[in-house]
Amino acid sequence: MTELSLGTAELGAIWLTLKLALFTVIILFIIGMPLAWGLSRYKGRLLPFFEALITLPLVLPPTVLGFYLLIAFSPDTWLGQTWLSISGQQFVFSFAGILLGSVIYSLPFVVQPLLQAFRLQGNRLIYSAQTLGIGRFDAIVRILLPAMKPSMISAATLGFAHTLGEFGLILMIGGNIPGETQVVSIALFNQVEMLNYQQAHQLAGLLLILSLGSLILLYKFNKQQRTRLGW
Amino acid sequence: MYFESGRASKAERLVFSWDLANTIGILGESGAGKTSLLRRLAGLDDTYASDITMNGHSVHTSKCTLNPSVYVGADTPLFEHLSLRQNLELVMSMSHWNKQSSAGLKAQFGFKDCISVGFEEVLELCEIEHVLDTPAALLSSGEGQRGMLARALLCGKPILLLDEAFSAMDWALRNRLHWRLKALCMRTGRALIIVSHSLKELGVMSDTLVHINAGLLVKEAPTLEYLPEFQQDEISFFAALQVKHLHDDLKHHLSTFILAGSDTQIITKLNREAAHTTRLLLDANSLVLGKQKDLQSSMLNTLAGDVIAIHAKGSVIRVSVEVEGQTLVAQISEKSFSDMALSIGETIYVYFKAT
Repeated sequence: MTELSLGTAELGAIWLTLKLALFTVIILFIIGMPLAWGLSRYKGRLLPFFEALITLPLVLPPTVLGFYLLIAFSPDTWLGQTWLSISGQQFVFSFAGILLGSVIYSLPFVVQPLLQAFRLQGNRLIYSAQTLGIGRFDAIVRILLPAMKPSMISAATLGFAHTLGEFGLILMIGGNIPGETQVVSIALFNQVEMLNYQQAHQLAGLLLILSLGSLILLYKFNKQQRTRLGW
Repeated sequence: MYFESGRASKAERLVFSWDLANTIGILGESGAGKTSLLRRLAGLDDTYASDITMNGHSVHTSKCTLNPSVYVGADTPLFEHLSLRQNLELVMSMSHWNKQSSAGLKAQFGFKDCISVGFEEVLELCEIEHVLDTPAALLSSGEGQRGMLARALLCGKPILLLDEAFSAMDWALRNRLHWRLKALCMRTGRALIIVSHSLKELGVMSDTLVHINAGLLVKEAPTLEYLPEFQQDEISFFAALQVKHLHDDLKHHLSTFILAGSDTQIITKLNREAAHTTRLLLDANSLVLGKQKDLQSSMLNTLAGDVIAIHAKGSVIRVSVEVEGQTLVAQISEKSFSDMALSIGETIYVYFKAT
């Protein structure tokens, strides 16, 4: 049996990856919930454009997204300068940089399940509650959000699992700085390049287990929900 | 209640002035605008600006929380992540109309006598005690509809808008609910406005029938007056009689009623709702006409009346008979009609079983 022999850099990459995935999901929920709610109620002409914009990271090569972010936030641009003056460090090749990239890259994985749930249940549940004399705030907090719990868990799990596997975008905007931007997928790439297959196996196996485990938990939860609701 | 809504042109606007002490029944073809009308009344549809006034006060047409009407559609969702009990308890605790402060709002719209309904009473009325702790998503369509009705009764609003709200229930269950609901609404100061494709349902429940088409009013008239006219093209014809419950014969499982305004008795099968029943529906096909008073048959009811109208409908004849100021309609064959040689003004006897 192969002994677990991860170095400090690899352990740092694992911690960074988990931190990145967690922060990404939290930020995506903060912006994704109102975004999905607003989009579910928007009926204007620009709806296809907004929907395409949100779905774009699904089909766009991550390197393209990373390239544009790199250009937009390079130190000689207005955005890069502004960030530098606020935070004291440059945006590219920083944790903040890969976090923004991850948020954009995983946006459709979080917003789409929420959008579908709002479209399917939002108006119906809120109108039902309101005609029964329940105020709008209570209808959202006490009825709509609890009813959307399965969709929110799906969104969080998909967003988390998807962030775990990012590579191209992080490499473009974050580079390969241990402890700052080197996530597990990039550490794995380094190990393969150095022909350290034993450590590469361990990192690859870890990503596989984390991703598969997240999805198994998600489907197990979905199955329990279907059984409970008789679907 | 005064209601006005529709396009800018006066001729294209739907205008009503209703006395909500009467139960209003709305009928019309599919797509006539019945559901839109109820949803506009409830403040759920703002396609057209609506002007609703009750007791001289304007009703919110956009804030449906503060609108005194609760809309119950055939597929209004229960909150599926909760059990039926949790659905009911949530509405009881969260509805503005169950709070002390809502008394002023009710009085403002002319419902100062509207009182809340007890939880247990609603469970019994809707026959949902046995599914109370079932997840709402697991209820059958009929149970779900009864759950929705219970929720609407417990929300405290004084006007119930029922849009095909009984459609998933069999007729026997529907009929039990009709009478109990009507009695409960009268006792607790609630108003009922009902949309249904079932003329029988409207015949039982409504006092005033409103016929709409393409979003516009066709006719509005008292139900008993309008039912025969609206049924002219129907294959199965029925008459509705105003009655008052007299007593029950538990030994023979029969209930006795008297025709309203007379002492003429009608015997029916015993049912739990007899005390609430104020209207009986009699199928035209179930009535037998005879020229002699005593047929010595198994039929328990014999009513004497005068033939007031005769209509030929294909190979059948519909004979309208006035009994104590109310109209019964019997459907007989052409041969029976010619053998009996009936004529208008003639005295005739109507026989029927205890239905």
